[in-house]
Amino acid sequence: MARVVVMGGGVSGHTAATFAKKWLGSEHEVVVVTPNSLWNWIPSNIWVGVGEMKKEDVTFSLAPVYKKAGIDFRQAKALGIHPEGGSTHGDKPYIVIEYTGQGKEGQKEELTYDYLINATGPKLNFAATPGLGDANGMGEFTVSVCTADHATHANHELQKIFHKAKTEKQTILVGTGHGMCTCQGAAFEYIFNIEHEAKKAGVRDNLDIQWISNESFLGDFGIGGLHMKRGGYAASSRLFAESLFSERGIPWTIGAAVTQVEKGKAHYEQLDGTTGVIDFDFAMLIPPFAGVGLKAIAKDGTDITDTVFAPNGFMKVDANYAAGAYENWKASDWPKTYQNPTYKNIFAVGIAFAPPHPISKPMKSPSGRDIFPTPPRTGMPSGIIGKAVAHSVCDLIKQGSSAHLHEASMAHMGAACVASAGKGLTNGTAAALTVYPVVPDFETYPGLGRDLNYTFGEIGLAGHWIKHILHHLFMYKAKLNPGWTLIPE
Amino acid sequence: MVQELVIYPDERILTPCGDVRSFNEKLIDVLEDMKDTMIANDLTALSAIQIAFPYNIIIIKDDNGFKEYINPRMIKTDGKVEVLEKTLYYPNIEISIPRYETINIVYEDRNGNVHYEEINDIQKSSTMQRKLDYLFGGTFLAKVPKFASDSAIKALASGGLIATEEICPLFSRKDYFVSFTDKVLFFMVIALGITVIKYSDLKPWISIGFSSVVLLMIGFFFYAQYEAKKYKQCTSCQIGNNIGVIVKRLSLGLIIFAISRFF
Repeated sequence: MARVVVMGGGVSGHTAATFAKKWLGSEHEVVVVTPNSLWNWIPSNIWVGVGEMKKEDVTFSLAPVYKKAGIDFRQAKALGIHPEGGSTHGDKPYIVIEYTGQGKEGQKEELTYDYLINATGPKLNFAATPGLGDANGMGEFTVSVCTADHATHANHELQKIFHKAKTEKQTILVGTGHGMCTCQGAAFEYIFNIEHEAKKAGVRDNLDIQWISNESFLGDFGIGGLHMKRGGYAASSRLFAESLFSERGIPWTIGAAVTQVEKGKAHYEQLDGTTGVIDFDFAMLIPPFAGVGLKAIAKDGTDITDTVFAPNGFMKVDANYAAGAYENWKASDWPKTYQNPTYKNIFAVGIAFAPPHPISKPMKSPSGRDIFPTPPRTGMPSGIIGKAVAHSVCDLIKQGSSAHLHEASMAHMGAACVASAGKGLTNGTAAALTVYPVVPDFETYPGLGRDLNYTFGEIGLAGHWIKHILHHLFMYKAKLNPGWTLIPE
Repeated sequence: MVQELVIYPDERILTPCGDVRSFNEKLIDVLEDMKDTMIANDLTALSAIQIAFPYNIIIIKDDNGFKEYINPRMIKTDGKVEVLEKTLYYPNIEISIPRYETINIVYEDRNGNVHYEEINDIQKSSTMQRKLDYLFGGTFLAKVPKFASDSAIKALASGGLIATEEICPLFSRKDYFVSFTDKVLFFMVIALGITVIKYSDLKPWISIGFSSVVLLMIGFFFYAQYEAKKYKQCTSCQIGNNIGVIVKRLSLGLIIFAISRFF
């Protein structure tokens, strides 16, 4: 019997674990180690953040679902990886975990594995910007919508602002809280949902809603922008986004790194080196992501973290990390199998894998500060990658080490995104977008690196319905209800 | 070498451009071709897509000569102003375009070195913004209401037009139709409830209500079409949204009307 250990129970980890268990059956063991007792459909957190959904609507308890699936669930956080084994386990590799629930809080345990899937997701690195959030993301000065709890807190603070706005002017600032953030899409959705809710609450006239981000042009979204083919030609996401922001009366500050947050003040530096301060009464600023800080230890006890992980804390996989400057970047730099190059029984999926380089053009301010989006690895791609890796691991277990590894390169993968701009059955709005490939392939598609024949974009009420339907579909799928495998990632 | 200019109706101008990644001989050739083309055609500015090269390159000629902007990004804007503009792509068209008065640009030179520039001369600022629009797959007609762009297109043959500008309204009058229809539907639901519990037979009122909904939605459709043509920039003016609004309300009205027939 082989044991597959999955570290992390987010979109990619849950997908990998559930498919691995389905394909391996009861002959082999699948263990999920995650510090959270709840699964969270993160794309809907923005609706929790404006009070249109409750935490219970976007989460469910993992334990009964994993019990039903036959997956061994450990509510614990992983502390370190011993890929060569150790004194108590011989050559058998293992991870060290520390329980955060199940009545074993604080207890440490060594968990051996045959195959390890790292799906820890990111550490929300609030500390990278002084004053941004705190260790729990619920700081004194800003809020976040990165988790369901953060979003609940954000809504609590937002409602106070809406209440004040009935009698006095208030300023809301939404965007990215560091020069190298990703997830601009979540902030994009949140600002338009706030604007939508403000109109419903009758306080829009008293709200100055502003956008700040590290994108060098509006609509970059961390993927160098995208193009929506409509009416026979491709419209840039920059034109689309500028139109939407203008129409909703939202001014923007771009090419900006938030450098410090104080009570009611966000300090920033822009790409041209100028600095500024935006006063706010409410701010939701996305933090940068980092690896969760796992250590890797060799059999002799030496620290091999640098061998297994990239400097940013994400796990090295079969990517080309020596691509060098922007002009040398190729689609083939991106990983295909997500297998660790040193330890072939370790894989990393979702945000946990180290990308070879950004997707957006890297840019610096005159002071040398990096100001550009880092690449997103969330949503649809992370689910697809999780499933492909589960497939590879199952084949390795069943067919041996010569088994063909399944590939899911983001440079050969399209993605669909539905970005909400306001929730409501009859007055909601969302932009439905597709992009192919996610990572530009400049050799196959010179210029933009994308195939414009596979791009599409539309905004309207129908987009909101799709977003809402997808929320229920993915919650249904994640709960492993009948027919869950039929719903695509 | 002088290159052929992309002139309306050549749709290659709508191709979104990619960033220049390699600062090599090929780039220098393109820059020299652009300058040759500008000299031959007596142009003060040119974006690479105007000679069918889909990369983010702009050259602007000023008192100091030709200035090259590779991968330009407009990261800061200040002040709004209407500028009467002409562009090579639409010969003989002159139209008032909303622009920013001052802009800050980050760009690279032919060697890949990064530079920053604040442009506060309104003519140069509007020229840069117009050329940037080309790089992102748009022309200045995307900045004006549809009626103005339609007029401009029609005027191309006759030579010259000055269109007026209308901005997207924060409140659309078509919403009056929707609001009134929703109120009628609300009272139809109440009338249906009263009829169902047999407190009173309000079926005739439901019929009148349904007829009103149909008429209001017809009115909405035509007015929405008028607004969609008038305010091209409004994403909420799309016909898909309008049809959705109509279908939802007609469906609800029909359901209420149909149910009332059973009582």
